Amino acid sequence: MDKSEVIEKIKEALHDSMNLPDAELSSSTKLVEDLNADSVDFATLLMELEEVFNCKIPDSAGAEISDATIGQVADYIIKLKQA
Amino acid sequence: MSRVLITGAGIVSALGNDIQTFWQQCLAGKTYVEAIPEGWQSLGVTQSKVYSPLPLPDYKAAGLKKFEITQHDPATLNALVATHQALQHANIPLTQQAERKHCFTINNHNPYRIGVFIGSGSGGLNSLYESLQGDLYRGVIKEIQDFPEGQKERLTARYDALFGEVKRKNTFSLPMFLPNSVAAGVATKYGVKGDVQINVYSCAAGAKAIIAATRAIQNGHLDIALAGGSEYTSDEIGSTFRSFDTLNTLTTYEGPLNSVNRPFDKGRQNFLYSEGGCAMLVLESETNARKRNVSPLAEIVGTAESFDSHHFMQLEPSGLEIKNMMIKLAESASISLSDVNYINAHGTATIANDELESRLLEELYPQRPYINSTKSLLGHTLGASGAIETLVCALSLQQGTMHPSLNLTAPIRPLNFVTQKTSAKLKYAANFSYGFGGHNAGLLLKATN
Repeated sequence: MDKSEVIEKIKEALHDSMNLPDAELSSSTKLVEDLNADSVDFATLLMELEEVFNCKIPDSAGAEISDATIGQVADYIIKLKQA
Repeated sequence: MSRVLITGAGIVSALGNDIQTFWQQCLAGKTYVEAIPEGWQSLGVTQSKVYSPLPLPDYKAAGLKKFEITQHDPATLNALVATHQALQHANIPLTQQAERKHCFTINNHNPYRIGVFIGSGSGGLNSLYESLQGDLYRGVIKEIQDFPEGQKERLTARYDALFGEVKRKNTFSLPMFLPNSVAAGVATKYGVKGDVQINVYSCAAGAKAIIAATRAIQNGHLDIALAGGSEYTSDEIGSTFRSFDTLNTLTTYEGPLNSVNRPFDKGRQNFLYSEGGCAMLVLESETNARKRNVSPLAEIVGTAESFDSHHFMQLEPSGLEIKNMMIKLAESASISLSDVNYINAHGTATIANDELESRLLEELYPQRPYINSTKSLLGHTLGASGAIETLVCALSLQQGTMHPSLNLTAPIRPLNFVTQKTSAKLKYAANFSYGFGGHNAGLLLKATN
């Protein structure tokens, strides 16, 4: 799966986990700064990402991606899948 | 004292997830019984071999968002689905207030004069089980990593088969299994700020919740109450089922699946375990309903409760407090016991319940009102049952029709049991619930048409 596909799936996961049907999302969208994601949103997103990418995401991921853009979350997922 | 009208209703049940389907299935005498999953038997042989599963609704199709499905236990989700149906049925307009949180406000009403009252025996039990099973599974898998090759794989495959798909531990498992989450979830969804209660009274929970809601409107504290019962005790390995089974409370009747559940029949062999269900009602003060110009399903004219103070699970053999409750119920509506036309009995099909209840019904209601048991169709939905049966009373009064009580071929007493779909002009209907612990509850409804 290339990065653009991963980004599209993350956008979908964000729509579902944060209920953002009309939000314009791009790889540079920041989760906290642009979407006002809080701790509940992050926890919901991690569960959604695990389901979408069929992988085990460590609990520490919340802290690692808390200040990230969608593109950086995609890099994190790709690295995790390759590990 | 304000009069209390039922102006809307919603349901999630094994017989349908909308009122029309549910009621048609009831009148047709349908039931949903299956053999228990094979895996349940591998953990210990059970006496009962059958149950009534609750297929969960398609929550997305019912209007819920993915994040809500992740963050709530099915007992709460079912209450949300049934409440939304009930509000639509009552023609109460809603406005979306917070798009991201997918919440609404009830238009033209003071939120402090709207309440939520939901009965549940166990709240988010399914989420507790899932969390516990996941923890155990992950712990066991970690422990067997050092086992010899072959043995490790065999054990992992065995645990996979037993526990099913084990997902990431849900971060929200704790708020999901707290019983109050069921009522809080509904109240938050609709911006309710009045009295919000969860009523935990085992099998009388749904009835006790509707009683509390009725009284809050009667005494003028609320204009509207969203009231009902929700239960979902399903778990992957049949633990709840086994817990009832070890108490010798579940049906061991041998015969075709649709014959095993036999309330008030001489051949009854205890109750049919149901995974649950939910019924929610919109209750309104007469003044509020008149302002909105809506037609009610029925009026709640009486409520009564009592407590056995006898045993943690057995009925008090003389039935004194249940009898007192039945008498108080008629008194609360200033009618005579002989005015009651129809009784939706607790009717579980346990040996003790049906013997005691039918004796009291024979003694107190010599006019021989119609009697049926909705549990003969659904099995015992525990904390939801009192709410579902109150809904059935309302529909029976509104439509002048009663559903059959199934498998009543040899009644234990010569009462006026409804054994086939029956039409009659009905004025007063009573519903009775008795819960483990000794909680007894009764609701009296009156036709409004």
